[in-house]
Amino acid sequence: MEMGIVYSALAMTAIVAVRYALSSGGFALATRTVRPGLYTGKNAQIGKEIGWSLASAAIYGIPAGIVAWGWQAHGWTKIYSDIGTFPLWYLPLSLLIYLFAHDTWFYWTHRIMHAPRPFRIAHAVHHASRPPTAWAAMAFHPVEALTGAVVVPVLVFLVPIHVGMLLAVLTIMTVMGVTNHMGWEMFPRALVRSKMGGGLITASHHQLHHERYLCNYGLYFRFWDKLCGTDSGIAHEGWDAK
Amino acid sequence: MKRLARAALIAATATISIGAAPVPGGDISVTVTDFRSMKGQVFACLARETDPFPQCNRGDGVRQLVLPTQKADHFTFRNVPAGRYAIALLHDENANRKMDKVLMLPKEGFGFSRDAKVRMGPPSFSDAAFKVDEGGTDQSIRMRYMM
Repeated sequence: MEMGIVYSALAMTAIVAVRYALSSGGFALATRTVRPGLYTGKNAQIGKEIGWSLASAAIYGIPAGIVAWGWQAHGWTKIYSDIGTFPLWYLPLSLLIYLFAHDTWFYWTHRIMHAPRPFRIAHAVHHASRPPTAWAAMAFHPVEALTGAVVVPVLVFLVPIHVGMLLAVLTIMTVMGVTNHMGWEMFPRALVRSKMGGGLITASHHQLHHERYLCNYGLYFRFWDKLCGTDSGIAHEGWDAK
Repeated sequence: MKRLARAALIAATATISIGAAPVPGGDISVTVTDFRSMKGQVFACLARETDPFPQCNRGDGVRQLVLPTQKADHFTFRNVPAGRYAIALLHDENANRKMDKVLMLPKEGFGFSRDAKVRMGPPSFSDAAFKVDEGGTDQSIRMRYMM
């Protein structure tokens, strides 16, 4: 049984590392096509981004692996697999609850990370990428990685979620983590510069955080930034011109 | 060569089971609820501990029934020797004889004895296992659909 939990933690670490390699690698490859030369001369920086990200893979993978083991072996968590367990309208609602809860946790821990001491100890690692690349998605100091690693493993004990919706949450988390750092906007202008887009965080918003530091702290939504007066809007049109 | 070895193994096991005294057993009467549609067919697999589970297509102790869904709400495995068993049901709605999946998640309905849960994967034999003795047993299985 103890072997099961160790095996699960190792397997999940490997899954997170492979997920990182495929998602960051995929978008880095897309960057070569869509914005040729954007990462030229950044090999040293990218090497560090990959190193920190692989260390983070273990920090993300171990708690996730323990919870996955407990779910399989002991029925822990409120993850459900029968779609009839809750009404269908709960599927999108659970997705939004997870994203909003993660966004809220991220916003406040991120603001704490920008206080001088936590910044020096931990968050400076992430800001060493100037500007970041698609490989910076998980480039965090272990202390910061730990604050991010606990979110979903705790949420699955508190908020019921269908296993398919949980996969959707993890996919959104992965894709947005990569694309917000990759140095160009992949979403159409009609969304990013629309009213609805005005509430969502994409590369055009997060890029400003990496330029100016003390603004645009959010993860998925601009809700907390706007509420707390830390929103600096999105980068001017053409910021990511070819 | 491998196939030959396997055939020999199966032959040997068959001989052993023919040679052994029959263990008295009974009927397993199965009631199935919560089908979401009457489409297609239902595969009902009865497996022993040593059989692959829930892939009931191989193994010596496996018995499989294929029923039209309309008639699958109640059926019986007859004269089952005493022992530990588990049942897996597949609601093959499009009758293509397999579990259809999307992104590795099952698209069609499943049901297991003791309502054993599907989590990171299908349940283990022991999660779904129940005992059969001379008196037989009644099992109620609830169909579940992931999507």
